[in-house]
Amino acid sequence: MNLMTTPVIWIFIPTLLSLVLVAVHRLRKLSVWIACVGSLLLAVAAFIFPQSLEFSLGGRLFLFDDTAQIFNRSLILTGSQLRTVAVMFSITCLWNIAAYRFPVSRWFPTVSLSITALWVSTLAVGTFLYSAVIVELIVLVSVLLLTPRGEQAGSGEMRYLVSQTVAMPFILLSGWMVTGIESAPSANTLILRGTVMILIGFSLWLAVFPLHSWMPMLAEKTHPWVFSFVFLMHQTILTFFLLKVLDQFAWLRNLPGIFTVLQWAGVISLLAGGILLSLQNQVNRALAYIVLIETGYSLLAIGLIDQGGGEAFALSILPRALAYWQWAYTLSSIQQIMPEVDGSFPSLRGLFNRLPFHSMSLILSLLILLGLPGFGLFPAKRLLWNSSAGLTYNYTPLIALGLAGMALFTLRLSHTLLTTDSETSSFTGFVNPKEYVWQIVIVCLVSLFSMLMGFFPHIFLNPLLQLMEPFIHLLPAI
Amino acid sequence: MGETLRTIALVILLLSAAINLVRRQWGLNVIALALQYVCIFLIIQEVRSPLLAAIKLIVGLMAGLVLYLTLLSSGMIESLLKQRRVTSGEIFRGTIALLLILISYLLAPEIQRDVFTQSSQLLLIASLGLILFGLFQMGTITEPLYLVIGLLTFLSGFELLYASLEFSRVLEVLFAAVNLSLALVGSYFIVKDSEGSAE
Repeated sequence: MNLMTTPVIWIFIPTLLSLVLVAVHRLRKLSVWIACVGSLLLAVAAFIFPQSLEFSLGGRLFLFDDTAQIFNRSLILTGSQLRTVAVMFSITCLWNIAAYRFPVSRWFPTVSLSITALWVSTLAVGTFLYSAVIVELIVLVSVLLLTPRGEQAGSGEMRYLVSQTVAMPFILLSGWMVTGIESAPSANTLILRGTVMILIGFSLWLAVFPLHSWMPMLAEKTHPWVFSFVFLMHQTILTFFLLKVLDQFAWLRNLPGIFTVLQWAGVISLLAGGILLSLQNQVNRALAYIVLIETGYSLLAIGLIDQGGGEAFALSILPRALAYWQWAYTLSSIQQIMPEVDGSFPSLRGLFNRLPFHSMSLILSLLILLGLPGFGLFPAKRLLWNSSAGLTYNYTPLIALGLAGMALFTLRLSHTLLTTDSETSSFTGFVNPKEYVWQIVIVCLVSLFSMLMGFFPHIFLNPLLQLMEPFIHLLPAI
Repeated sequence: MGETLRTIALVILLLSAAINLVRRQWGLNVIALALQYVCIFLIIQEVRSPLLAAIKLIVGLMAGLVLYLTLLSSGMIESLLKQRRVTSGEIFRGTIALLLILISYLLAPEIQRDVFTQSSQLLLIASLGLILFGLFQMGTITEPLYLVIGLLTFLSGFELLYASLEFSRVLEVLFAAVNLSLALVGSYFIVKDSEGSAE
């Protein structure tokens, strides 16, 4: 077996590293460091690796292959896919950096690294619909992280397991059903069946409205740090996978109405997420609805692929990851400083007086996710709002309602954080909690970086457009 | 001979799945699950060599063993000989089980004609039955053991169907990994459940 291949570097090496981490998982600090440094090196390597997969070092020419064989099947990781791999390992690194600070499972570094390797392999499997089984494996591994320590498995975990397991057959059967019908006319019954199966499979995977019911349940029980990592990866890579399916299957992308279906699925998820979020009284559950809204935006972006949706999707990946990081970090940090905060609104009342920077960071991350001008997600969201309005006015009021729901939640949360009720103050009798300087520095730096991305998108965000390069059929112009 | 054996296996397979749906006796359920995999081993030989079919048998039995040992170590195994009165819930689930078997039997010819023309009717009845039993179990029960049994039943039904359509070594390996991981996750849930109950 040729060891100088991209799948060996970005799939087998992290898998081996996670096996090493199994041995040292009791030494939390060491395992977090190994996971951080390992994923950072893999991210940097993927980012700087030349697309031609050849480079010279010390007068010697190194030529890497993009294919590795396993059980007579190919794992192919092309040069153009390496930017996506870099993003995945960067996310793993970002989430491992602070993993030591929070009471998450001591398996977090091990599992996060193995999950990332598995996600990379979903993009690399030659017969790519087989990735459905790898996604199932990822779900099974991630369940171990999502179940809180010392607690029974709740309905959220069970429903998550069921919905993701049921999705797998739909994807696999669709692949079998449409084998060799690339050139058939679009009215072919098999194509319609295959399309319906793929759409059902992805709806279950991505927890599109109304199949999202397990997500708030899971978010309420799971540590926000773990939840945000698992579902950021889940959402991002499955959206890439959907793009790959559309790119590879001409019969699917040429089917009349397919992109309209995706647009509607996106808009309805966004609307439902916004309305349901506005009614929330639990900040832990809010992240689930934020994920639903962002899934809606991703689907809308794919649906608007001919109107600049691809660019919007690529531009949103990094700012969204940072906003999730900021929200999860702030919430986890608040719950660590003040364990009596259970995430309910009454427990957060007057928090601004105690933890002003954390309170501001919580609101700021919501505003970033809302798409406020001046922050990282604004360029992508503005592109989607304009493109959808340019296509049809049907979407505009629905998107506006979704946004209003999110804005209402932000206002309600701000009101809760700012107002104190002297008679029923939640913090009466507790030791005065305080923010450490390093915590303040972290939340300020992340906020600042988000602002920089918003003000200078051409510097920070434009390189992300390269993420769309592998989709040559879907986006021939990029 | 082969056809008769497979028909008997189909009957036992659906009965085992029905037992898992109807009875709430953990020891019996794990035995029924193991029996299910023995029957799948016999039925799948229609499309797979005995060696490849044995992989599914071994993986299935291992999954069953993992669940059995977990139940044993948590002290949650009820005696098989213990007499229990039939509850109204069991009568309801029994009726549903009969209905599911009937649906599988009636739907299989239609599905074979319209979609899976290369699969035999016997195999389709088996896979459809397992998928329906699995789905019903998953949709109505939240106890970890029954959920995992439901998931394993659903997956084995799908694997049976897929085996008649396509062969891939990678998929066989991945399916084996998924089944074993599912059993481990189930054990993890059962242990957490028993710890929670003990507290």
